[in-house]
Amino acid sequence: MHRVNAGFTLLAPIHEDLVDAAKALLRDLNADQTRLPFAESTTTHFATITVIPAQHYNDTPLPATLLFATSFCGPVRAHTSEVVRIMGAGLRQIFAHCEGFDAACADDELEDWMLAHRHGDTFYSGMQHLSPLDVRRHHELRAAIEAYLDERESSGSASEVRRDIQEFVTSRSDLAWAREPFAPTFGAWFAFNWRQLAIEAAVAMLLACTVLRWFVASPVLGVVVCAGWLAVLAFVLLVIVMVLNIRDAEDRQTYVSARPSDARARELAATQLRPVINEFTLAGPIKEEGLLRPLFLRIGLWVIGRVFDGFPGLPYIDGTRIPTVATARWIVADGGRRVMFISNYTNDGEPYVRDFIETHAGAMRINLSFGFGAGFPNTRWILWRGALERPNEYLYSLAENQLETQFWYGPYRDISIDNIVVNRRIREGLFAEMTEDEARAWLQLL
Amino acid sequence: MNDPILDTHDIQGLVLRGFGKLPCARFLVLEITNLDHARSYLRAACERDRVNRANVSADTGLQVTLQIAFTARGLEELGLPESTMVTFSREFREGMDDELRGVALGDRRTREESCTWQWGSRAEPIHVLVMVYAAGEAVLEAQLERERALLAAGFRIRHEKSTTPIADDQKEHFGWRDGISMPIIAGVPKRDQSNPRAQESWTGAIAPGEFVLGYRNDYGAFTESPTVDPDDDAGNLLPAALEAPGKKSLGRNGTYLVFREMTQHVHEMWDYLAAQSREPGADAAARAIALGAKMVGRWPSGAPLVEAPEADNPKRATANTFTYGKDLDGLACPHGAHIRRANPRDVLAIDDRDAEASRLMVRKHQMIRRGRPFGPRVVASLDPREILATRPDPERRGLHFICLVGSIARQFEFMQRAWINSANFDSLFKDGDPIAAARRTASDANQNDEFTCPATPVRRKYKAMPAFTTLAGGGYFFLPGLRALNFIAQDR
Repeated sequence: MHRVNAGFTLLAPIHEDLVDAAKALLRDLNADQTRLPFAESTTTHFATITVIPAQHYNDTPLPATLLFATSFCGPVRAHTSEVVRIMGAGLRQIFAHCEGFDAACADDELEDWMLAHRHGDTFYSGMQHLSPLDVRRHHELRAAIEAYLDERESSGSASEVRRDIQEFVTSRSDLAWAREPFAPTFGAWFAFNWRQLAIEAAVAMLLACTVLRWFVASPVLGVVVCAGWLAVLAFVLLVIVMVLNIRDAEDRQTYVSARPSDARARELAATQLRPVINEFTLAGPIKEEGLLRPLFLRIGLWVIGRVFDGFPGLPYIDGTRIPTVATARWIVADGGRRVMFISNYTNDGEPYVRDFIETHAGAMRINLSFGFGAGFPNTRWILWRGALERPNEYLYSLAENQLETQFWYGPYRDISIDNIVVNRRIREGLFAEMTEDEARAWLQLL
Repeated sequence: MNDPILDTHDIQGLVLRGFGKLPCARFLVLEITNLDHARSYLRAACERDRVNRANVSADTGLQVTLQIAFTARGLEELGLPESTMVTFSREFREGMDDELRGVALGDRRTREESCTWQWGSRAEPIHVLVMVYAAGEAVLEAQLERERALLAAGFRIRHEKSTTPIADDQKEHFGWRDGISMPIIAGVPKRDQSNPRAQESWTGAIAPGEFVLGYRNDYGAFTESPTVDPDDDAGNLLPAALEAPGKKSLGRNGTYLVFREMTQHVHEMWDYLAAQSREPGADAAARAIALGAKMVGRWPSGAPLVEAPEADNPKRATANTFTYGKDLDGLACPHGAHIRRANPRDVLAIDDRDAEASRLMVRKHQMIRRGRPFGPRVVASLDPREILATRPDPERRGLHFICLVGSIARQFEFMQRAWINSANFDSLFKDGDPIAAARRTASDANQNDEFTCPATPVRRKYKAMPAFTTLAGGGYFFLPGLRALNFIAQDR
């Protein structure tokens, strides 16, 4: 079974009169996580469960909604059936606050309900192809090797020292798993890349057909080429129209978030005191100006998702690594009128969100991915101004839209995402063929 | 965008210079006991030019001068309206001894833990900081006599923080040359630039708003800065606030001052280095010094390890243009070394170690440091070999760490949390800053008492480091411009 990381995001409207009860329950479960034992899950890296309050977009009410979001690995069915098996009772308690949920349902019905309420997201994982067990084992492996090295004065060549380490690991029956192959299988690679491969295949086919059309007078080929280029042209025109519509809306925007009150700022700061990995959830309506903004948002985030994953064979779009982020996701909800963002990240609140605007390129990326949220300072042509010129207001808009996360499961509290990446490289390289230089570089990971 | 020229006539001198020509100093930590007399004292300090302005160099024969800063509580005591107080940054208003902030800064383990500082806790009414700088001990003592007399009617002196006269060797108590890497402020008029060598900085000149309020910062925006409603400035003492149309600027030409009294446990550090070092060296002392250099990132002379990896090279004592790009493995300067944390230069671990991105990020977390040592030197020379030959004594010694920043949160607090105290900085696991981190041991969450020294074939790991520095007290202050100081001192 592959270990592709993805987001499982469930959104379900909550009964108006049960909102407070849902929040109270989630806080209780957070305080006593044995009642919702994600720690027993072999597929869950992180879980955020919280109530998104009722909000407004223009005059359209956006209902109070339960957000259940896990960062998981493997096939989605394997994940949902596992969490239902492990914590079905707790899940029923939570979902009982949602409209249309039957708390007396059987396990398979519960799972079907969860899958039926699954919502699309744009997901990023800094720990792709790792399971929670991998993360824990890699950490144990590194600790065991470190302890081994601490007990002796290592000398000799890097290859010799590495061989000693290999022998040590081989001698430990509890580390037998470390000798097994680890690289993702072709199936896992395909499960991760199929969307990008489909795009690449479509583009390659269109180009090939276009060239072929010069040599082969086939009416079918002509139709395919014509339809393909018309689709491209239509997409480009759509993008131009959307961009012009947003450009017009940018000048009409009047609302920008103000500095949060002290009480609000303290409330937020108090949620970000974990020493290594923290979580935050944002949710709010998008800017009211710009009819085509919801459509642009969906398309834009879909493209961002593909760029995150990278396109096989294209060196300039070969995947994104964000050093401070373990997992993150954007969710476009309520017909594109509301956006949610969840991040499990290394650092604490303000330094984390500031990190992204400290370079021009970073601030432009923030304008692209957060500039549509209500309260975000006015952008210009989507990428310019905004957080580039008004960093304070960017931070205020995040503070305005940040929510209390009533339940959070995050097991990696003493290790950063950087640590997880380094541990993985130690595991990957431990029994790999290496030159002396490669062995020397590998030893520097320890 | 052209940098505006700083109004050095209105800026307190400490912003631009460390008063090296005035080696003796005493810091008076004051409580206001009589408002009228307190205001009179402050007005007189402005009117008689007793407070050094940044455009008056210490080279002009200056013998003694004052610098004056306020806590948020002090400004409230002096009657600043609530509408003005709320425009100061939240961290300044809440103070350094806030339970949330204490946890974030590593100054306390839990929110419930009570403050153990010798001074500066929230319970203590600290309002004003008067910093007295003088050319010699006799001048200082004479001035202090006068100040005590002048202060008596309006203030209670809660603490007099003495300092050790700074010496030409610029060494701190552990034996290292200090204060080498200092940010350069853009927009300083040429005539007021005190140190031409300071132009040799890797980061280049940094926008003045990073350090002086009321000017644009490195984002090209204005840092949050305190303002006053025009109606509250009847005497029209303050300039217009460029960042807040319709308001008067109380912040312009001022800055925030962070004061932390750090006790340095000199013998504990050298005992640890001597007992634990496995670094190369001809004898035990050389090995201890080599490990100390790895922890600091510079040799005691000041020479950076990336330029002098094998042995000290006093010719490079003040080098400040080096980068870490050729030392990504940390074989010369460990990733966790003090100077590599406090200024990661080109290798801040983001954007795939893009050097320019790193530079832009690092520039946004710089601080002007104006600390002064206190307590007697262990040995006059502060030569590590001589320190190693001494026995522990009961003297308390350390550093009055003082830094000036436009944003306490983004500059001082960020650095303290994300770079100094973090056990996971730059892919490390249990390593806090070996010199300056608030130590967390194996029994604490997120232990940070190890030090990893990259080497070939494998790193050397040093464990269970005791705290080499501990915090004895301190606070957050506002160091106003001269016009703002005069405004603060007015009757209202």
